[in-house]
Amino acid sequence: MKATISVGMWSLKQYSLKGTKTFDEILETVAEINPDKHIDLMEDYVPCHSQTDMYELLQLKKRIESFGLVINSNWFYTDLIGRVHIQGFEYVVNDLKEYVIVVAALGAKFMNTPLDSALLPGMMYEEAYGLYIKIYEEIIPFAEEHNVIIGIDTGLSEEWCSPITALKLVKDIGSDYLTTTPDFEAWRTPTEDMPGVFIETPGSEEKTEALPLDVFKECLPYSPLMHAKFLTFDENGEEPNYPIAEMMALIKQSNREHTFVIEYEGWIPDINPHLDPAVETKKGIDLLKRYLG
Amino acid sequence: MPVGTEFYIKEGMISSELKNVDTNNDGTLDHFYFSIWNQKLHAKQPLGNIRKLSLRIDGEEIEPNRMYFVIRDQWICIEQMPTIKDIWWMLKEEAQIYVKQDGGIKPGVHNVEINIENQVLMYTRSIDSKDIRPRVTLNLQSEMSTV
Repeated sequence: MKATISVGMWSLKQYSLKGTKTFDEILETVAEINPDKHIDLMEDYVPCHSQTDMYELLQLKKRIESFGLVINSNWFYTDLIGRVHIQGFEYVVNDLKEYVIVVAALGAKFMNTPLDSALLPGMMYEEAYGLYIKIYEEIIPFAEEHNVIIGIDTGLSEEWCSPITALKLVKDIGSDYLTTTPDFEAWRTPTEDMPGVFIETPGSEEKTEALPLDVFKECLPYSPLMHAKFLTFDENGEEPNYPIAEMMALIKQSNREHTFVIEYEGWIPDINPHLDPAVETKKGIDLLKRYLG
Repeated sequence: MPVGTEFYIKEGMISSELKNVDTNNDGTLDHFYFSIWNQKLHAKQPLGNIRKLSLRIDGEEIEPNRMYFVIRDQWICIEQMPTIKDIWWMLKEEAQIYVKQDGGIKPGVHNVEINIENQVLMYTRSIDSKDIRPRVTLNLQSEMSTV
């Protein structure tokens, strides 16, 4: 099993939000801490809103490459159900096609789009699922034309948003250009301090439990990309919130190449905002390297 | 602290100064303002996803038709802000909140309290005009000095 480690900009975003490091300084940090030199961009750092600025986009690519970094993947979030409901199906399809072009122009291999989009009141699973199938049927030939692999990113399971749904979509579409991007978060063991709620779900009362490891195993053949979400590390550099040893044992048995995007999330105000995100992200890299050998 | 409660880095999100200005250069102060930076964890969004913004100065509620959100030199009256789809507030970008007031605000220290109701339709190129998603409320308070 061949593995590559990529650092998600989400891991180091606290620097941007607090203004303690410039974008260039963050790139320099990634180049220092990640021996694999891969990076995952999120749209906060990409000139794609309200419309894509192609000149700025190409400048961004040059700037990142000047630090010896490779853009592995881009993360774009769109509330697919919400946008279809508010504006219409063709708007969503056009947005996603534009993002595919952005990813291709940056020279990245993967585009991640989270599945997370809550069902509307009265909406059944089947209706949402059918909508997603229709969207991907439009997008996948376009992604193939531009050689961009789409990963459906799914973390903590809530309602229908789960790696199980992503896996079903990927199998039903049946294209190498639609894959799952399971997030370790789906296998997180909830605790009193960190209950099973998704951080971006305000006031959510719904608590979820970690998925069975069998689901993780089933995802692996369809997951060239994985999100290694890390929240805290203990004194031995282990992540106590996940069954890491068991997950890594399954990964080592996998027959396909995987890239791990590290999403260190302990920097958020609710967890450990006082810790240095780069130091903690490096612990995540070391953890993966240790297990992967 | 349990996760799922904070969606912003509040520290340093608003300035500590209120500035009086003469916006039409007629020799009379007509507005005062302070700065605000986008420190939402998932930051980029159309301005229209700020569904409601309210401001109290020294306990007095400011009428929305006297308040303007100013970004990249574009003045948007707070009352109309929920309609703005194509102007996005970027990560850590500075904007200003202006209040129309003849003569400006009197010198001294003032208690400023701002409440922002934000839709969670993050990054999506729509504003949640149908209120289909929940809102997150941000409350910021600061003692600001007039300059």
